[in-house]
Amino acid sequence: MTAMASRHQLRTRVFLFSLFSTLVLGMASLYNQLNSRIYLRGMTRILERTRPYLELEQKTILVGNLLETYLSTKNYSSLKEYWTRSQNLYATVWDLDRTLTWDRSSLLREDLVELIQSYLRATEDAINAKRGRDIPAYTAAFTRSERILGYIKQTTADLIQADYLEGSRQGQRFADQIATLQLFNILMLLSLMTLGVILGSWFSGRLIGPLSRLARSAQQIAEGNYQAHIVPYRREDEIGLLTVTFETMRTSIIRNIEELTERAEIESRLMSERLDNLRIKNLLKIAELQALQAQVNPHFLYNTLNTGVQLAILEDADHTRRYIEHLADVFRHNIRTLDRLIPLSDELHSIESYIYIMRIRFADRFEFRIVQPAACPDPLMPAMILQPLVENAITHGLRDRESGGWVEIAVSRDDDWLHLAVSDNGTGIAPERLDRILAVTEAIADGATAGDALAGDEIAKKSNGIGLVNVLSRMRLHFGDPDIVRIDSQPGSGTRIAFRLPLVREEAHV
Amino acid sequence: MKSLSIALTGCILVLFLLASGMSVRYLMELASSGHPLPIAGSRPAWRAIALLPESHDPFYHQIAAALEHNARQHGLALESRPLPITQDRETTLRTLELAITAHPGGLIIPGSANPEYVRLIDQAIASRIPVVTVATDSPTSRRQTFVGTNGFSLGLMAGEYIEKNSPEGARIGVVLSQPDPAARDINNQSVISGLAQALKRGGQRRITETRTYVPEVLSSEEIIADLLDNHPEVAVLFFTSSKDAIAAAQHLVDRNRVGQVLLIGVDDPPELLDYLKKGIIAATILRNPDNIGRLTIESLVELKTSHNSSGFRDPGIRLITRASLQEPHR
Repeated sequence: MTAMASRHQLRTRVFLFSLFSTLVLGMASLYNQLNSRIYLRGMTRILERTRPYLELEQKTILVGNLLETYLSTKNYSSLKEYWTRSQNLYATVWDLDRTLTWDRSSLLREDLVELIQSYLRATEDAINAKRGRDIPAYTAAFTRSERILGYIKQTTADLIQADYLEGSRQGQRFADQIATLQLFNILMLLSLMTLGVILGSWFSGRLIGPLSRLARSAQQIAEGNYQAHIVPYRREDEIGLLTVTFETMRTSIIRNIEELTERAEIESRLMSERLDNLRIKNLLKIAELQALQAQVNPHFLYNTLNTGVQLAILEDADHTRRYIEHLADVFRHNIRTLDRLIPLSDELHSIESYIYIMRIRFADRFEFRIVQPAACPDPLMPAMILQPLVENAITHGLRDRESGGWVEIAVSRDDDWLHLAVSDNGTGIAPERLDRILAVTEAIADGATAGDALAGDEIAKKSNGIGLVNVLSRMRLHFGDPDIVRIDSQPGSGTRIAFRLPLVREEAHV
Repeated sequence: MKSLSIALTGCILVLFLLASGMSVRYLMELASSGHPLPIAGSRPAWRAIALLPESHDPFYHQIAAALEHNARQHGLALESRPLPITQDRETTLRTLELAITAHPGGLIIPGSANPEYVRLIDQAIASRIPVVTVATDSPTSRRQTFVGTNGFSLGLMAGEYIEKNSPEGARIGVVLSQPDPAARDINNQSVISGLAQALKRGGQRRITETRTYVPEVLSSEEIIADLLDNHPEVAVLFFTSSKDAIAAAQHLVDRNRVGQVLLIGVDDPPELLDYLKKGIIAATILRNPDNIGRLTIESLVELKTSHNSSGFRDPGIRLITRASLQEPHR
């Protein structure tokens, strides 16, 4: 209940402010009504000052008329009416406020009362004399009453004139007081209005300020600035609840965005790996195709060569046997499934057989060297890497050299790397051709198919260009290292193609 | 900026409170407006009516003011009514009768020898209304007190001054102010008697002409012009009204006769004092209207409270000249 009440503080404050404003306006309006009422009452009081005296005069005249009627007719009803009216006149005079003051009206009023009382006594004398049939007495009393009636009229006129003058003075004073009062009222209303504006401004600032700041923060967040500062609001009201909720929403948005980003990165990485695998498979297919195209039926040849080995043993042709055995090893190595990794020792063993054959073929025309450390690590690597390179060195590098040519396969270790290099002292690779081979290799590594990468490139398509591209691409894709291969070639000075194989990976693999 | 706003709001709040306070105060004053005005001090204990001649003579105005002032001092509410003084006595008598019929606590009236006037005074006395005559007297009536200048003393003082300041054998003109024709035989006769008494003591100075100024018949200026035109031998003029003395002074200025006629007036209205300072009027006799007013009220209060008072009270007279006017004590 308390929490709910505190959450509704803002509504309560708005209600209280509205109530306060309404009350102030209401009080101002009531005060204005009170002013008007007092103005009206004061003016009425001033205007009605003379009314009682005029009524008194009228009543006196009426009594005089009744007296005259009775004296002339001696009518009983006139007498009865006379008594009624004269008693009424006595009562009216009796009820008058006879407080004596210093002002002339008060003195004239006292005169009037005394004159009326004298008049009534004179009329009574006249009535009594008439009833006693004392004609001279009632005539004298009547004459006297007539004279007093004249004094009453004169005094009433004087009293009205005095009251008029006094009323005018009071009216003027009243008007002056009203003017002063209106001045203070205007001043009061102006200051009240100014206070209302200030309080309203202050209250709206207190009410709207936090909302405006929150709206600015929301705008910044909407523009992508999720770290926008949200001004803290400490009251536990609706705005406080809104601020806390907004902060929670911002935190939730940031967390969701981070999760989405992380997931996208993972998916991107997976997709990249998937693409790499596809490229490797593509290259292997190409290599296999090339192998199939180059060797009609390796298995047939391998079996035939084994038969030749048997035949050579039977004929004691030991050189032929060894030749055919090495040839069979080369064929056996060539028909391996290319998507499988083999130990470096297998690759070296195969290249030794290949070199034996090349030595028989080219006698002393070329020299072949294999340099490796005594305790050489045996990391896994793709098959058929060294043979195409040695073949390229013989076919292209040393093609035009009749003697003195050499090909060296060197293995060395350097901390976490095993370095593998195939060197020759042949004609080397022309720079433009080497650039093109590397560009095709880059394109394949970036996802292009070998067919697309080689399309229209006659230089790269030339014999063995495809083999070098294949070897380079397979090494890069497999190890994911763009610097795994380094080619140093100077036209006329030979070519050196070096690889570095990560020993950590090899050891982990082992 | 914030403290400035707070200070401004505070000022406006103070202004609002002040304006509200003043507004409420004025509203409360307004709420009581329209009632008979309260007079500072206590309320009057009783009331009296003063009938004074309806005259332009400043002497009576000064008496009226003195009466009002002294009445207030004694807690007496005084209703002043003008008493019309005309050849037709009826209006005067009816005014007096009205005042008596209104049955005041006291009556202040000028005196008159008119029998009906005297009868009304006696009627008032019979109705237990104390009556004080002022300025002029009704010695045949039952009025309790007369407060006024002794006419004989006035004439005597004027005569003595004339004797000392006019040439031997000078002819004297006298202009008597007489608001009430019925009182002529009483006060004015006393003045002439006093004047004659002083002149009799030595020398050959004689009163050549005596004129009486009656309001609504002739103006002061006409009487004086007529007197001087018909009696060029007149070297001294004595007036019992300040208004007549002022008119004579102006007449002498207009006729370029300043210094040829010795003018003696009464009372001290500003215009007369101005002529006195210039030397156009030689002397004036002060009848002390303030004293008359004071003594009248005191007599009326005595009559009201102790039913007894002196039958005559003299306010005293004093002669002043241009020289005495410049004395420090003046």
